[in-house]
Amino acid sequence: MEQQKHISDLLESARNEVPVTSFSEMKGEFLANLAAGGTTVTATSIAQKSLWKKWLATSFKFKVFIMITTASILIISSILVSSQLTVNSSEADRNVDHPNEESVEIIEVFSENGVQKTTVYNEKREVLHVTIDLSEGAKSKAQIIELDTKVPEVLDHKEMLAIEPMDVRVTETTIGTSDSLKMMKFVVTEKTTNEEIERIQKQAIAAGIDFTFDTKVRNKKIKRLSMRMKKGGYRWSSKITGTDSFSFDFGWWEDANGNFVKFICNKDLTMECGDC
Amino acid sequence: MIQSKQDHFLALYEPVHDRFERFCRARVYGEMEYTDLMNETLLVAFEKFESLKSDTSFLSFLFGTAVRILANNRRKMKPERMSGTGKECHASSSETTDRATEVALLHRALSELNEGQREALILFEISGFSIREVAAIQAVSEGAVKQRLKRGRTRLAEILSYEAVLKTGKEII
Repeated sequence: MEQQKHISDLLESARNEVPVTSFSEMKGEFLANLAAGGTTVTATSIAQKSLWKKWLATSFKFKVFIMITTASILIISSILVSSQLTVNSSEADRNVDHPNEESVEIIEVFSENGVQKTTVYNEKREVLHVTIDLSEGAKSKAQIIELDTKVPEVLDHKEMLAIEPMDVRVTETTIGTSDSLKMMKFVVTEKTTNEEIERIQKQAIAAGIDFTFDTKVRNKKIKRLSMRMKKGGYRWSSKITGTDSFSFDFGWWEDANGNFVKFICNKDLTMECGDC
Repeated sequence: MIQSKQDHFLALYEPVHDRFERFCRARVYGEMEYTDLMNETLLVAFEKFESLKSDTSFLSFLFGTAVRILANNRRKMKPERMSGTGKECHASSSETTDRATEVALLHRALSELNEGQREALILFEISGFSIREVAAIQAVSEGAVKQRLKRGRTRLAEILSYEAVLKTGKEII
């Protein structure tokens, strides 16, 4: 009983105890905390973290910061994407204006009396690039570059004769005549075999032409073909790469006695081409 | 607008400051600085001040806020007992008096009770709330509050007897 009275006395003392912290002190701390952004200044506060999170979630400044950050990320991303697209389009434009070597399908080099003509065709047999080099015997080098998208003229043969029975499906061999000259024209495609080219080589050697060639075959198709012909001051070479299918004409002119006169040009297949 | 809200809040707080200060001091004795709890409670209460329906319920609103803060923090972390006997928390000139010593002893004994009993005893015996108000603040039934008060007083008597024996070597009869 006395124990309970003692407890009641203690509780009474606690109930009537003079506060240690006055209202003015508490008011000052409260206002200071409000001015500091709603967080307590005491580091030992156990509720500081939750209050900080609440402040972050509700603070207008924080929302503005999130919005600005998001907007910045979006703007930077869009700038990067647009710049990437711009670079790609400019590269595409450059490719259209200046086709590089990788897009070239057929290169033909024609040399006569120190004058070398290099012609570049695409797979549609359109002339993309023609270079005439006067370097042999001349100090200065003159280079003429022209772009021609016209389809090469097709020779109107007066007479077409087959020299030897060949597989016309893959290789076409014809003889055209023009006045007193005979045109020995051969057509090679991606399906032409090495044996067929060797037969053309034998025919060239019979005409006194130094004929060499090199092929790279994959899946029974020619992936790369280079041919070189040489006779006196005349030189001719061609290189075919980077195409799955092609049909390439070449040959030479012979006189009535079967002697070599000039190489023919893939573009024109005319006598005048030999002078170019 | 904000200034008027502050003034209104402080005007309601001023008359209940003493009771609130005593509650905080007794409630977190040995656990943390009671001023921290007061500051946190005032800030949270000010933040949610618009939700206060009536000025007359400000007292229970303030104490309820403090109780919820303590409950939330109890869930987040285990309370670390502050070192020392609590004298550091009560550095005042009145500490030398017998009454202040007794109150400090009571606070220490209260801190040995469990959370519910301690809080109910402080709210009922020191802060002067009715059982119904304590039940509302603690979000429990009135019967639970009565049970807490009864067991709390019994336990408090045991603690004080034990400490008295340790101090004087003679049990209080």
